[in-house]
Amino acid sequence: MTTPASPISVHVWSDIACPWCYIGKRRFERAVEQFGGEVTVEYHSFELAPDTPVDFEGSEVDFLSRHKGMPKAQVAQMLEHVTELAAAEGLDYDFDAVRHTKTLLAHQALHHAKAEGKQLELVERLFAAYFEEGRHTGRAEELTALAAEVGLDPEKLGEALGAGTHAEAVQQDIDTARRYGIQGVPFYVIEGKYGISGAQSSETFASALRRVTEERAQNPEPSQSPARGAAPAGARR
Amino acid sequence: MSPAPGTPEGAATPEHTERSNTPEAPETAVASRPLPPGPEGFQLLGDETAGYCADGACVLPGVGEPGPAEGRPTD
Repeated sequence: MTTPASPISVHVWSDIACPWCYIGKRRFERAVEQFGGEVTVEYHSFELAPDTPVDFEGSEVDFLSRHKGMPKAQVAQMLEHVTELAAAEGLDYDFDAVRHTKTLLAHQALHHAKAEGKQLELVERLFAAYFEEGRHTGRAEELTALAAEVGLDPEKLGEALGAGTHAEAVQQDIDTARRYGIQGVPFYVIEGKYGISGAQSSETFASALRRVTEERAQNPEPSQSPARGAAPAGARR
Repeated sequence: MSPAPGTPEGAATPEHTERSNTPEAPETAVASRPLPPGPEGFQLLGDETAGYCADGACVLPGVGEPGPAEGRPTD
């Protein structure tokens, strides 16, 4: 039974290769601080570019210019713009160092981390590794090393990645996103009721959290299940 | 500027109101202007100025300039 005192559930569809997802993460975190109440956050998989090779040879500019057929100079200018916006959130994006790669294994690692109660820690670590440190997050050995940094057993994760233990869970997330009609990330589902698309402002996120609280106070009845079909709340912030 | 991700070329911009035949659909939508693409069945909050990524590329709607690259529907 959901009571006004119970945490607000937030389900986030995201990809570690999504610059707006990391920016949105910072903004949402600030919103939770402003809100002051308890919020549970669970990340779900959304593979932005499933056709990306694990070992793409080239820079982010190369990938985007090829993928989108845009002049490199234009792509570089755009990345600079995103970098500036990230910096405003305290993030140090380095697109020159980014190793563009397939994120499927990273999503599996995040599901493993969820099962181990470390999902939020690994989400943060993988975002930083990808956008700030130029780490190759498409390889199992790199993922296990990063996972170890947040307290996960690297051998256990390596076995799970090798066996594809969480492959189905990743696919279920992707299928759920498709069923919901989610076409872009980040996408936030709050209390299975409100959807927030994109890296909205902290004020928008905080307003949504306050709104849920107010509604609970007005109608303290058992709430519907979170995000129809999505797993219930995971790690708590 | 390219069409919003989730909006196929030539297709109308999706309305961010909920279908009346969706059981869980809220009765009203909060947004008074177009929003980034989102699923039906949820009450969408926020505005169209938020950046997001789709199909390996990202956009910053409202600025008139795409992000790393223009977004497209994922399908």
